[in-house]
Amino acid sequence: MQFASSARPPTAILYDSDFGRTIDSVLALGLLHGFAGKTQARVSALTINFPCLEAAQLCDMVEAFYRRPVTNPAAAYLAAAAIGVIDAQGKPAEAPAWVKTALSKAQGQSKALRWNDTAVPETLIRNDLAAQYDGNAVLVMTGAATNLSRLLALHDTEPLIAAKVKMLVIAEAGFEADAAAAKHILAEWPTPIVFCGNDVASRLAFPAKSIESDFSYAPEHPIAAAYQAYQAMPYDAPACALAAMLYAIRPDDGYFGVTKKDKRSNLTFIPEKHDAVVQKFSEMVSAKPVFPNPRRSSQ
Amino acid sequence: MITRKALDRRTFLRGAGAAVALPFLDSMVPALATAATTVEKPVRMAFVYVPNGIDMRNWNPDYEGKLEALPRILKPLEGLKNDFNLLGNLTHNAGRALLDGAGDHGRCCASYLSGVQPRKTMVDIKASVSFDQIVANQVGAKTRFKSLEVGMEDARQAGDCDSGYSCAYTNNLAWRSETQPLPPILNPRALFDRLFGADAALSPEARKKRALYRRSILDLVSSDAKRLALDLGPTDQRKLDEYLTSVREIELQIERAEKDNARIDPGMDKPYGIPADFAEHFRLMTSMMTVAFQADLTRVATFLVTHEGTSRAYREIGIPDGHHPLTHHRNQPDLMEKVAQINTYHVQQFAGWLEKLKSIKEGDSNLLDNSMIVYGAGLSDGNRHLHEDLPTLMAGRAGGKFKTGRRIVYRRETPMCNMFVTMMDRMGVPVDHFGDSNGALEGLDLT
Repeated sequence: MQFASSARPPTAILYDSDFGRTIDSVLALGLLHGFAGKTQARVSALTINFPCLEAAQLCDMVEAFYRRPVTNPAAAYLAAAAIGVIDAQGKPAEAPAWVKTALSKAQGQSKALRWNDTAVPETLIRNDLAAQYDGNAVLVMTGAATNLSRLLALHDTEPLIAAKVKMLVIAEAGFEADAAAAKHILAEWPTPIVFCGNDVASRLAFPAKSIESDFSYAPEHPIAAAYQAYQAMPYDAPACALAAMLYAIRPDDGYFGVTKKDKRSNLTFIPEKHDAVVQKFSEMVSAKPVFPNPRRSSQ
Repeated sequence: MITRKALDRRTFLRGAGAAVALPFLDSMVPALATAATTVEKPVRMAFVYVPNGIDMRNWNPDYEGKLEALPRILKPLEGLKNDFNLLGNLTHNAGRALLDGAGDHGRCCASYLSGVQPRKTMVDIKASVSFDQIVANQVGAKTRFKSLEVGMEDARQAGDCDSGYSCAYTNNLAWRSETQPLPPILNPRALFDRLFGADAALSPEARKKRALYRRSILDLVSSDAKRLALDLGPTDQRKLDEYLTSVREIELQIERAEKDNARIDPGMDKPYGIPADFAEHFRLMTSMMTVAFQADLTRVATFLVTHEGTSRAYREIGIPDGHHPLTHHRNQPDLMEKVAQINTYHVQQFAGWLEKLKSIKEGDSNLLDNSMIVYGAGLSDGNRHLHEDLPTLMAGRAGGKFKTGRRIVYRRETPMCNMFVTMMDRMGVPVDHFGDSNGALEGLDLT
């Protein structure tokens, strides 16, 4: 018989993003993996609110980069963790050119992802939340609120969210893209909501020099490949999703100020913290993958 | 002269201490009946559950759409591939640990039809009413038995069977209430008696006497059968004869099994009346389920082939190792090969049952067409105890409502409970949701 550790695992981060639309969503996933490598967070569920299969493939390629390679051929059929992608309703979005370029250049294994290899986002999040300790999950969202609105609409799920989710951190850019979903979330989401607004994002950027110097340990690093494909180098990337992710993982480290009104809070920019924040962005996004010992399944 | 009289659908042949239900006969349809007045052909539903997961490398085809070449484990179903759908990516989240640690075998079996995570306990068990019982409670009033629970492996109902999970979880599929599982009937004779014996009218003495003389149950109802035959047309007479012959064959199979067992070394742990041979036992149990469906004795059945987590050896096919230890093969090819052989052996037996169901005509269709027979497991990969992409095969057309012969792969994390919602609807018990469903299962219907 196995016995569960008495210590709680690191905070589970469930990341619902507009992966494939903006580069900062990709960087935020790198940041999350950087903290996960230091066991300061867990990458628990990844969902995408942009109906683009290639975006999911790029996301899966990033995941594959941080995943321990499967070396046993007999085990090669085992599927990687599912990535949830919003239903395309028969009309998938055309992949942006930079996503296609990144897919062709980056190191990775999962280019064959089909729609049926992706998961239904709301059930993926619901199922993942059911496996978390109470109050030990944080949802980070960039892009439209459609997936989370559908999650909230699932039968008997609101109490689960209330029990498991410590807070929902929203990168404000793109939040209103689905106005009805945004309204639904603001009205009925049962946990504290923290917004990372454009006023914060506009004061921060991910430095191009980090891409040029910090990723050399992997010549075809998928995040560097995506960054370079997104715009002509050198450029400093927007950092709204990065800021939201950093706060979600390290809310007590004082990187940002917080103003609170009812259950909604807003992050505020602290000028003195600018360099520390940007340094943390570079350090964590470029951190080398760490392959922990594979966890035994719960048999 | 044509009359509008018809034989009652609930006609029984009766004799001293015995009652035999009848199959669907043409005489049960009123003469000159229009489509609207045609007697309803009931839809039946059954679950055949195999334990310890399945070797998914040899179960999942690498294509979608029309079923073509079948993977190795499904090869025995080659002749039936237009009669079933193979469903992919259905998930039972309630079978996962969800902070409850070890015990996937206990959880996956208890949650399989109940759709909820069972309480981790060996004493005060708790799951939920299984969806088959919700259906049975609704449609059971139309049949003699609300449901049948059948199994093949003797198993205790108490104690620890998996890391702190009660044996009640690993050894039952159907749950009448959240605390009351319905143990399967294991002994063919007990099942036979339940189906065909008029227990309420039989005193213990009469029961003992009947067993002593080993009279065929058909002898007891023969005069009633002869009287009925006078009122039937030639087609129905043939149907009745075939049906009563199949009942007699089951009787003979049971008698043969009992005689065989009498010659077995008493050291073997085999109760009286249960065939020593796995395939024979499977054939007997499914034969009786067939008759129960045919005669509309019940419309709901669950069949726990062997209990979840079983370590049964399969010496019948040259595998002396326990099933459960084999499934923890750690990707060793020789052990994986044995698991595939066991999985294939199970499907061989299942194919025999489907063929039997298909051979029984019901009007212009057949018994299989008018059923939903699900074959599946609560784990996919038994080595890693995965609860996603559960092996799920649904045979039959639900009374002509389903299009079959296809491999349908849903998106990952699609709740298995979605399939239950769809099945409940086809059984005439529509619900908004069940367990963790988020809708119905799309893609099965003809339209």
